[in-house]
Amino acid sequence: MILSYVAYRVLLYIPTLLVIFFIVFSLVKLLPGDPIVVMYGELAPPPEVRKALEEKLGLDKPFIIQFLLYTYRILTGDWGKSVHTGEPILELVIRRFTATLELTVASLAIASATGITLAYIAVMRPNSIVDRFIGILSMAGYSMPVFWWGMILIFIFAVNLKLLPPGGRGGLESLILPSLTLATVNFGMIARVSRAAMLEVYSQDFVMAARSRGLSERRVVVLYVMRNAAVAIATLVGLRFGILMGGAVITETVFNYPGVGRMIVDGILARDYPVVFGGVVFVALVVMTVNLVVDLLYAILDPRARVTRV
Amino acid sequence: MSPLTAIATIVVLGVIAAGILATVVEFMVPDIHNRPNLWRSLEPPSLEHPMGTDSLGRDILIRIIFGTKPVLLVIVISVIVAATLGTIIGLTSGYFGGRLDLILSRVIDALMSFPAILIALAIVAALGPGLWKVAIAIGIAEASVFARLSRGLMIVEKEQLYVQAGKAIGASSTRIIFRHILPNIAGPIIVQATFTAASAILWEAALSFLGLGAQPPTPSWGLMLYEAKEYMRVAPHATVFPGLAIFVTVLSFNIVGEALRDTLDPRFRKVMR
Amino acid sequence: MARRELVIVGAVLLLVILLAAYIATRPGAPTETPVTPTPTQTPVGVTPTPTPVETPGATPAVRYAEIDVLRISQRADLSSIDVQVATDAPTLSVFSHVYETLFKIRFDAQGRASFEPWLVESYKQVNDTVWEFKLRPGIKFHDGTPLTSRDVKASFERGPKVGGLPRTLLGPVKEVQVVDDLTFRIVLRYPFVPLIAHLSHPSTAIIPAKVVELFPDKPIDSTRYIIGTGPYRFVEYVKGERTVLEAFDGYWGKKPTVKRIVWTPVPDDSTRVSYLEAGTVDVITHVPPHMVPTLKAKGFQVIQIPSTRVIYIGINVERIPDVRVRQALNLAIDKNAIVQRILEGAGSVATAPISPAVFGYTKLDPYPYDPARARALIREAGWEGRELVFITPQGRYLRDREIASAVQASLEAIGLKVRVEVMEWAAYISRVTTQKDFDLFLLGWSTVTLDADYGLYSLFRTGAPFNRMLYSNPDVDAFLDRAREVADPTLRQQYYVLAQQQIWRDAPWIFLHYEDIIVAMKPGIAGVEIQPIERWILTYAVREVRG
Repeated sequence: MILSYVAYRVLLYIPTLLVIFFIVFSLVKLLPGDPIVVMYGELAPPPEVRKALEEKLGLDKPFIIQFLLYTYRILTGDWGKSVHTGEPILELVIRRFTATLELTVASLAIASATGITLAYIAVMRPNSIVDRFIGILSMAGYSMPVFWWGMILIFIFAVNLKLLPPGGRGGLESLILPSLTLATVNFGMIARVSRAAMLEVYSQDFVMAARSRGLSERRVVVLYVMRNAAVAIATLVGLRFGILMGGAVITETVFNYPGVGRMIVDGILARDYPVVFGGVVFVALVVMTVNLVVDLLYAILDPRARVTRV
Repeated sequence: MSPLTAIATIVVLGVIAAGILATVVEFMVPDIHNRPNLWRSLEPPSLEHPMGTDSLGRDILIRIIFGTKPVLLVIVISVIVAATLGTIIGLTSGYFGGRLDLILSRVIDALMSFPAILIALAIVAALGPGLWKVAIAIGIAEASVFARLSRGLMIVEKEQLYVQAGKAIGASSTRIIFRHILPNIAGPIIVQATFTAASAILWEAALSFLGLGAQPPTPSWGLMLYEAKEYMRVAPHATVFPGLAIFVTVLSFNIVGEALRDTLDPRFRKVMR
Repeated sequence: MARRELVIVGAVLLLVILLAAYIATRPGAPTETPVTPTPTQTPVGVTPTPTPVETPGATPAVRYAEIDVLRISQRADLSSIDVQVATDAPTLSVFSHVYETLFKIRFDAQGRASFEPWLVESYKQVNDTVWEFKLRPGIKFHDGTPLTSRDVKASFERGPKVGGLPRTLLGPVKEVQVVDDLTFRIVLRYPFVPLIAHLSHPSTAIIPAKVVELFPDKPIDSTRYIIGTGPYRFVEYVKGERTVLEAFDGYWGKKPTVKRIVWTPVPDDSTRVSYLEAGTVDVITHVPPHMVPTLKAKGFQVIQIPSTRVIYIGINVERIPDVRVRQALNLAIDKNAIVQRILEGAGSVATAPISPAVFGYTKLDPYPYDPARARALIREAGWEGRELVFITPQGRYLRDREIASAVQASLEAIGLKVRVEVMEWAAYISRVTTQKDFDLFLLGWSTVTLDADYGLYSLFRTGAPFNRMLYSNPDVDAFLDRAREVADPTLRQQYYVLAQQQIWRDAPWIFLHYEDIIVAMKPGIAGVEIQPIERWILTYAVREVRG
């Protein structure tokens, strides 16, 4: 049962990836300009090199063949070069992505800790003023313009109090402000989801039973409530990993943080298209893979989920 | 209705009304929000300029009020694009099922899991910057949400008696989908539109802040923030007010969306999570 | 109305200070001929002696020590890793540490420029179109190969194939003839007096013939091939993060006093200031003027000097052929307000198409701010209500987008419609260069050779590569052509005066202003050389040691 589900999910992963490649490839083809520069980042190559590149990119072939060649190059790691610096894009993207991952993980840690704590407080007294206040607070979190919030935090903590560096990457302290900024936008979702999950557990028979067996409140919370909340958050993080990463794009720009998001934005501004689309494809690959893994883990942990998600 | 919801509703309606009014006034007096006075730049709030002036000496309050026009434009365009595109895909996928559903669900899944901002960025990279293009890009990026929602609704709805009856008497699929099912599931879609409006405002501001959205002298709030950013230390008011405008508006749209969802037919709640 | 008085007093004070600064930095009276690179000057062998700019209060106890790592933040990242492709000042500042040119530009305390032989030891003019040069012996590239005439030939042949700047600068060069290992001749297409000035521009730096063989007509594709003869080796480049240079042991000249230089690009002005304040970097360039008082108060050194850059709005003459309209555009702009309020005094209103430090400059009267007359001219020309497309870069020049916004509003005020399109530099410059689908474009030009030929011929001569206005006036062409050929400086100056007067009347630009350079650094650093051509040389920086 599990095996067949794993096979099913993995089989679905492939066409989904192809869809993403196809969308990105179509966008690349939409761009005006010399296709060699746009797709491969090679500036004004000499005629014989140009010919070889044209053949490699299949520029004289029909669209679908070009797309297959593109997919082939992506899969074999031939991602082209940056137009401006000639740097191989795969290397560039991987290095930048490490930075983004650091930021995302750090902010998720902060967001989860805050979110779960708030949810726990809220669940203690459902529908009380405290609960409603936490609800609004969560909503305020994800209604916050990240860039504005980042600017305010820089202004307070870096410019006025001089406690933390205003940006860049280097050492743990440079990670604090950007991850706090990003966490502000993400804790709300987490708080809401874990609140719902906790409420659900609380109302279930086995928790009531455990309580009536005289289990201490703390053990009930740790054993059942938190565990259930953790599963809910893991799902949320897994399924919405991409959305969480979206916030990182802006945060990185505000904090001059050399992640993949700023790389993409800089790439657009500098018209360095191979970098832009390399970055987009890479993020897509990561997001899809995370989704797949989370889905599988979830299926193993909770058999009910094996039915296709609605 | 809680007081908070009431306030939020007033803000939402106010922004929409201001946006419509601003469109009319701007049509008659195009430069109303763009009257620089370099000799009075970066002035702090005063009676004459309640929110102070920006780096070109323009009144920030006036610019924020006329900033509702780009907000309205982005909401309308992006929600229309997202809802139309997404709902058509979702309903078709859900109604016909089978292999078509499998393929379309993959596309939806792929887009869902993808950071919307990345899609928007990729589209802006291809189309170039500008308010309209950004609005369309956001619409495309958000379409998957509507697709998944309407597909879920359709799967529930198509088992209903009236649909089965329609099929039995041989009504065409288009007729069944658009004449009978769509009105029945319009509620959740409207709720989703409210949430999408909230995120569209945020994304437009973000893209304008990155220099990829509205072009000067458009009084886009995100662009105003971008322009004021450099002067944060000498004129903090120029960043505080546009930021607040974005925050309050987005929050209000979210609160109204929640309230709408809570009052809606409980039948749909599960689908909407 | 105490506040108003304060503003007035402040403005007057500012004006006085500006005037004083202007007079102090002016290279003599305008009618005088500034120093000029004449080939008749006897070449002098020079050992580089850096003049520390702004030595902080020299107390007797101060000693100076070498610096291990100097960190500097510019606004922009490297735009290209190929010195012959790069066109922007920030990139060329980095490369000025790695590559060297045949001649070197040097500034005295008054900002006057002179050119001295650098990689060449001596040179002579054989006839009108043939010059002979002798390279200094014993110079090595970073990879250990010696510098020879063949490298010069290869560099000069490749440059025009890969880059616009070498194409312009070396345009008059017909060929380079190798005489022996160290001797070569430059054969010109026509007599060209400012040749030496052109050979001091970093785009004419000498790269190894070996690299030319690998990349004869396309940009280099890896930092491995960044090989020069300069005091610094190229160590590392991480896009968007840092560029690292390290002192080159085999350098032929005076040993650098800074071991490592780390360049960090920080595009956001206020963030860059915070970097300096937080001690993340030691030197920052492009300081926003409003931060100058704060930084000074905190004890940082702030250096503000006029640059050779003129900021202008080019007018597409083919789309706006009516000179009345172009003059109206000039009359509509309050240049003084832009300089005082937007630049916050970090500049001065342009009085010619080139800056006062450049040979050939002549002072002209700026178009007055007269919106009423501008409006009348627009009406007279029947241009009321016409829409103009105005494109502008952002973050390239001091307050560029604010200037564009102010200009936009001023032009609407005289009855035109103006659509502004703000673009990022890379995209902007390629659009300005390749397309003509706009009416107005904001640009700056720094006459880094300090000779009017580079600032006028390349921009106003019919069909010249940087004549993006598509401006054409046969008289101007004739003046500029003649000025290239005559050796007599007085005569050249006269031709340039005539050309500039005509250009001023024809108004193919909205003439705006000259930009100031503002650089700030940690207290205790000396010897950083800030050149008016927007080049910062850190090679001989030292740090103050007390006691």
